[in-house]
Amino acid sequence: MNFFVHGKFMGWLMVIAAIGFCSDLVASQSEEIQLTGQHNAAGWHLNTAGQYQWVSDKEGAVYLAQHEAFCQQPRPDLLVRSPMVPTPMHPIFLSNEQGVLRWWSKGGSSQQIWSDGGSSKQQAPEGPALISNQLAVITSPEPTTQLQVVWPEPQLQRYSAVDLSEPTKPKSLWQWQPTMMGSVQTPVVATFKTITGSQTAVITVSGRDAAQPAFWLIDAKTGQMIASQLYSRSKKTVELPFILQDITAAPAVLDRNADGYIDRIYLVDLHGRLVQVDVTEQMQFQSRVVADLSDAGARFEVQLVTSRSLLPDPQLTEHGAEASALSVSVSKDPQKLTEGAGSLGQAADLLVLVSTKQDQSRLWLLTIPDSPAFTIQTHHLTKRDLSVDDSGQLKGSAKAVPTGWYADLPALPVSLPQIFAGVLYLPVAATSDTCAGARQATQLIARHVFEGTSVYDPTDLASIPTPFGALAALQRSSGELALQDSHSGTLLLPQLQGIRADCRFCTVPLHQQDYPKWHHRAIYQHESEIYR
Amino acid sequence: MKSKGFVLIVCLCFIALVSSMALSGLLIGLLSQKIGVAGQLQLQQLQRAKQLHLQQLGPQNNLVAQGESAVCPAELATWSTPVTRCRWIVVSSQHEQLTGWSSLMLATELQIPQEAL
Repeated sequence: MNFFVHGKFMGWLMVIAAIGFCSDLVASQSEEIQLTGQHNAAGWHLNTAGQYQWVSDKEGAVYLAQHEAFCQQPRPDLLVRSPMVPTPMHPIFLSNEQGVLRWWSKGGSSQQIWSDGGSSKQQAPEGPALISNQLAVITSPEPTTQLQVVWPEPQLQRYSAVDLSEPTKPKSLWQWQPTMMGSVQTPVVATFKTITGSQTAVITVSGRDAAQPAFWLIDAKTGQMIASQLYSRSKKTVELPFILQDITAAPAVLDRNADGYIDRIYLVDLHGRLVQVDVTEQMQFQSRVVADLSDAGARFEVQLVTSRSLLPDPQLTEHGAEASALSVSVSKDPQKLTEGAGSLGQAADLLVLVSTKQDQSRLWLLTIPDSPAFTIQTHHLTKRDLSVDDSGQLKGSAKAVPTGWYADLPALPVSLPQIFAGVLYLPVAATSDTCAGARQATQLIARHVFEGTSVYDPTDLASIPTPFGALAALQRSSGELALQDSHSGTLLLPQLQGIRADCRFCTVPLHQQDYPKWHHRAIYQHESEIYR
Repeated sequence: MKSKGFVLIVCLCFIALVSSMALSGLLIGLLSQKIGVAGQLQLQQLQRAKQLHLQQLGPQNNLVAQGESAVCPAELATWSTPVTRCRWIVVSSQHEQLTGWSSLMLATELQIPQEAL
């Protein structure tokens, strides 16, 4: 009996052990699948001699293991859909985490580059700084299709460039490390018109704790410095009657005359002084402070977003009862063309900024006219409450042509704001993840770009499937334009709205059949007829 | 006798002067009327030609964007991402007996991905 009981007990023990062994086996296999499945650890290692060495999965895994905070699932910092991206990888996801560049396509395994050397004295970006893109992409069709990525390496305090035209065979292009630099920040790419032709450059800012606030233009092909601008920490000038603090936010660039070349750069210092820098063909800079938001007491560390826009007609009413001469589109009534010809609204630069003060983030939208009469300050702006549905009317509460508006955000943004057809979109999330979840939003802010009023019904915004990633416009098979999550392809808003030129707060559903939009810009009599 | 002849000559000169003034006034009036009518006709023709040209630009004629693609200039409903491309097109019209007109048109096209079917 005793033997029988013992035998039964041993039998149960063996069954339990077998189950335990099997479950361990399954768990270890699933772990292995997770590690080596979509995002493996293989990649390239740039040694101190500046050469790439292929590193196997095992060696890569050792490297990853040395960095406990390193994300196993890379954070999708940028999605590049350009036709210049090689077909097998199109569209390509890019990530820069602690200076390790990773790239992958949907369903494919990730590849990565990291560099030798450096110390860990400089911390990787966290919190608000993560909202920025973390890297810059250059695509060029001529003479051969090229995809180039420039990214900062915080631990080595330098910028690196790689040619990913063949993503499976990356080519190191250059590394650049300036003197007098504080911390490396997100670089921005811009093509400038020069006396000799054109020049594609990478713009970098001086970062935290720099000797002087500054920015540099680096040749995108060679990594050589083209031009630089240093600002004094002690002396005020007539042109720049402000002493700038550290510049950590990545700049924004503008093409004001639509010739395809950048002619204006916007920078913001840590305290919120917005600097407008005009670039000449001789690569000379003219700087002026156009806004001073320092009285808000917030930190401006997030990459700037800008767009060139026409300002709305100040005579517009809430219901659009008075038609605006701003409407320059060709209408069915040909007589309208004569009204529209040459009657364009005043052009201005739109600047979108995100600031943080302790745990509170704030969204700012400024309109900078071509000849600003004053330096914009917080009291010139209208405050908006994002928790209120003010899509109706705010009669008399806002200025005729607003200088801008600001609003406190319910949570930290997960990526940069975007403007689609005059509506500003900003994805925010309550959590503060640094890995793949850092780009996952739980709430969408959508506001009229000039008025700051809500555009969509709150129930529509609340019904968006969460979490969602980067936003993109999509043309539906029915012709309507929709908003989608560009990472997963999920439809977020089935009908995209655009602002209207004839009504102050109104929006209109966007449809593919509205395009191409025809604008009548000039009419003239044949010269031969005049002098006959 | 001599004085009578002198008066006659003066009268004749005066009559000739007055009649020449009247005639020239009539002639100028006639010419200005003709010029005015001609100018009015020309203006009407210009207006007509312009109207026909503008009708040609109407959406019902389905203009096709052909010109060289360019960066889009500023617009009210702005986009921060480069999803719009623009083309400049010169549209000319020449009607019989009417003055020719040309227009510089800008076509804004949208380049966004389509939904997968």
